[in-house]
Amino acid sequence: MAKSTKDPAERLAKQVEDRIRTGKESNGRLETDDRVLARITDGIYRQPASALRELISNAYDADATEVYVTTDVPRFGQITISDNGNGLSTRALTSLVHHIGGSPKRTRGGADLGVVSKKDPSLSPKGRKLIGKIGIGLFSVAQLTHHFQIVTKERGKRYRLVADLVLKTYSEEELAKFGDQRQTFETGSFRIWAVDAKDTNAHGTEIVLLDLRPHTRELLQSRERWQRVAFTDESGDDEETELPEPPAYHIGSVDSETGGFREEDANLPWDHADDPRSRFRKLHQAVLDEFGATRPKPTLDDSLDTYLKTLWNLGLSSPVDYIDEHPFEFGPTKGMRFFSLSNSPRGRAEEVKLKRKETVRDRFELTQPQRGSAKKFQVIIDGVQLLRPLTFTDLPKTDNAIKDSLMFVGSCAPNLDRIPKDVRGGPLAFEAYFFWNPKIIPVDRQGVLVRIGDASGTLFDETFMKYPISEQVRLAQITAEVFVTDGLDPALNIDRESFNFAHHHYVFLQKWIHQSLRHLVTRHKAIGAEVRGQVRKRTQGRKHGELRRILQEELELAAQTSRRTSDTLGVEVRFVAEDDEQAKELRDSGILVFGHDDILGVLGGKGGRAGKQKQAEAEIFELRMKSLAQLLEAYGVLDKMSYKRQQAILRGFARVFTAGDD
Amino acid sequence: MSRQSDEAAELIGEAFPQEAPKHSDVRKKDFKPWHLPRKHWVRTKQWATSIGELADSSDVTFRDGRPFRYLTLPGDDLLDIRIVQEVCHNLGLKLKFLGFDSTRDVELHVSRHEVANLPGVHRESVVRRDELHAISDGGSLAKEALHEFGALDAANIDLCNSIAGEQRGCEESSINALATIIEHQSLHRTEPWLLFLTSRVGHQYVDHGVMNSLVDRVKVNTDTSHEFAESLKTSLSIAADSIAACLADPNDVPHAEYFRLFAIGLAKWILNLSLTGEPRWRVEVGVTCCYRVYLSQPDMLSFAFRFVPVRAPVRDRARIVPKRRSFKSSSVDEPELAVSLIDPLASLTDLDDELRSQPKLYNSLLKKSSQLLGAARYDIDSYQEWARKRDSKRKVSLLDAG
Repeated sequence: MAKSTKDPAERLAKQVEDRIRTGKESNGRLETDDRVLARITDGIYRQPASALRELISNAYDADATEVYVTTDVPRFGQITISDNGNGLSTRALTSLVHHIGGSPKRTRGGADLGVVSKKDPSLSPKGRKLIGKIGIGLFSVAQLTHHFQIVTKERGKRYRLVADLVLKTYSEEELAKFGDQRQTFETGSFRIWAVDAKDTNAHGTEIVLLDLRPHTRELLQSRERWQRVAFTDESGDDEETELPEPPAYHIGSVDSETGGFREEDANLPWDHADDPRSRFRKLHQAVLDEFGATRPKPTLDDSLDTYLKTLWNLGLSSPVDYIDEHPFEFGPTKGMRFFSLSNSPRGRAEEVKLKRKETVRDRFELTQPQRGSAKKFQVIIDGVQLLRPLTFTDLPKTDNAIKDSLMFVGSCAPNLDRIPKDVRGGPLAFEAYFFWNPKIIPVDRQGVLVRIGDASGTLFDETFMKYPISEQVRLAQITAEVFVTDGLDPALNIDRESFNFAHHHYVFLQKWIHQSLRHLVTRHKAIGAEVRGQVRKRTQGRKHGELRRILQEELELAAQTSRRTSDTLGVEVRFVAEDDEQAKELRDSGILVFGHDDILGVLGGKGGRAGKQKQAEAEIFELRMKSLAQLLEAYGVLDKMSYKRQQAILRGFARVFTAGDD
Repeated sequence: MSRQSDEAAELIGEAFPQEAPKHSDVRKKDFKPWHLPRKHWVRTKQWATSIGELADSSDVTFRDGRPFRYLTLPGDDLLDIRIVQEVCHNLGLKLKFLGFDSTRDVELHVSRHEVANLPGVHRESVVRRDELHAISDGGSLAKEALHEFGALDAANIDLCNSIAGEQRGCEESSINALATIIEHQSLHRTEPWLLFLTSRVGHQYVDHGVMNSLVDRVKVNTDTSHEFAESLKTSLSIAADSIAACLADPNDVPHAEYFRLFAIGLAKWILNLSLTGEPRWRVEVGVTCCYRVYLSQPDMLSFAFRFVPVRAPVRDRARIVPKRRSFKSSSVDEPELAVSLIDPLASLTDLDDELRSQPKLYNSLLKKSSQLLGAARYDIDSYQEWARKRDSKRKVSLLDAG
């Protein structure tokens, strides 16, 4: 009882509930527990997508199955994020405004507020692995606006809660007024009240971001890009530089004064009659189709404006379904080869043959994604359903020797028992795949993407966490995802889009990724050599066959011009050492004999290739010279020549044929 | 030396908001004229009944879960949407609405949260922050939104002011928006659809030029169709010899005749408009009523129109095939259609009279209206007290007038 009177959030909750009948509001100051947090109320992100990502994460953590984001595109005056999740209790809402920036999630306190599972504070009430931090989600809103409202309702309650929040712009001077002794800092003000609800069973939360900041609007409208397109002087000094172009697909532009009228029509990859899922699929396909159509290495920036890229990146970072299927659901008929990754530095990637109907998940005993009892999670932004823009079977194959895509799969749950508990930072476990294809498009997909609890703020890291070995070509052919099931979350910086590189979990994961890449590269090289050998063999066989066929035709032609029958033509030809004593004996038995080094030696170091390739070339050269000798013999050219002259003419041909080869 | 400079004012304007954000007021839920029980008569007898009949008829199809598409000016409380949702839900239909409301109030956000949670409400329904007239501007996002929304099953232009308050030729006018909706339907719709139109009517509310133009169209029919002239006489309830004077200067006639003349002129203008597009629409007048807000005589007019596509049988002018026993062709004879359009206007339901004479009906509407407003967070007891007080006052004034 004493506690309830001391805790301001609890006191406020009681006041709000007491006033439900009267509809009277409760007013107060938004506070943070920390000076550092007070400084970041103005936002911590560069892109609006980051703030939206955090709000979507909050809806996921609230067990929502549907989230609708409505943005009055392309005006962007207001954004509404509406979910059918659990809704916030009075206590959770008041706790939020009293500790903005903090998170009641993942703690036993969170269970008391009803925002996490009673059994496991790392899970949502319905068992989803938590991905967001509610306080950060609301903090991130500051990036977009300084005025927003929350309408929320819990199932079974006969009231809705409404909160109106106004954030302040951070001022160093104002903070400095308070001494270091101050415990909390004012970051804005709130007004909370309750309204009657007849729809007792309804539940969910709606966040309305009012009067978006001009900067946010301009970002979402790609205004800077349109200005660059409009104002670039085409007779500019630098003729080498490409002129700025509008993206291939865009939402167009509107007048800057009211935002209500078109200046440039939209060019969207979908029709307005398409359903939300088809719209995203068409967006994805449009980006893939840019390859070969406009440029060899299409990037998202080439293809999409900021708004469409926001949809793409939110699809990538949110815990939503893949466009086709989760890569862990792939089976043996997917048209790719599967390999298991070893956790040992001395291990190697072994090929795995999946059985009929067996999936990657079955074989490797993988668990991700973990969505508890609320499996469905759909996010629809302005009529477009977010999906993970990652497909694996329609990427370009190019002329690479390895035609099959390669999928390397692994998981790791290091036993940290030997590590002191205070250093360990909790358990760590993850699952991962590395997908190799001759070309990965768009290039923004090259690299590794780390998901914590099926969500990611970091997108693809093309350096693979700073892989130290120069493997530029091969790394650009790999796209990978790591699904962290335990740990690593503490290694995320406050913006949740970058890591603390010194954190032990991060360091371990980085080393595991680098090790896996080494295993992959070794295996890939072996497969390359194997494939090239097979190709060479096939080519050699084809060349030999072709040569024999042509020789036979020519010999028959020679027979028609002489009195000999074709079966008496085509005498055996041998190349022997110049000092071979058997030469005479061989000649006596009707074999044409030539000095080996003198003729075949002209190939020498030419060709510039080593090993098997060089050997294959020497073989075909020998066969050609033999065929030539046979033809010369068939036309009777060699009959009257001394052996010395025979040797000389063939040597002459050999030199002519190889002249100019490097 | 101060480094502050006013020269940077322009840059400041671009970078800083002009005002600090302020908290939204927790508004006292005041009662408005459209909360009176008689408006519930319009909601149920006109809107709900017409929508129910249209949606339930075989003329309109809702294949593959297609929602009932409804354009509205819903206000903060989304009262009409709650009614239409109920009708649709009872017929097993989803409802998708496109609303226009330029004001932004926290009440609207709460209402939207309530409505979004009602069964069958399409989650991509929106209330746009635009005035309705913006749909008439070719380059506007509002017009784009209407185009993307697609063909409408019903449009409800429920105005507090007059549909014809702005001058002729004014682009930002409600009547221009009405024409845009009819044109939009011609481009996108092939099945029957509904238009509800509520407008204030009176000399002081309607632009004189617009009134003259509406009446000019009436005059044309009066001159050419005896039948129409007869119907007009009945509808206006005036002597035959007064008609010419009435039509000659419509802005100079007494309010009662002005009101009816406006109703006839507007209905006829809508018919003319609908017969010029392709496909052509036959317009039928449904439940139509009037009531009083500011004047002692009716000053609000509430129409329901049903638009039915005109279908014509094929005709073999070469007479190669025998004469076909075809379906009965829809009439496109404008004078004939105009007569059928204005006939029902002779017996406009006066809602105030109707409810004064039927206390049982009044009480039933009061009860249902209370439930609707209760769902929109109004205090029911205060509401009933307010409504009874307002209506008893009105009753007295009506008796006095009578």
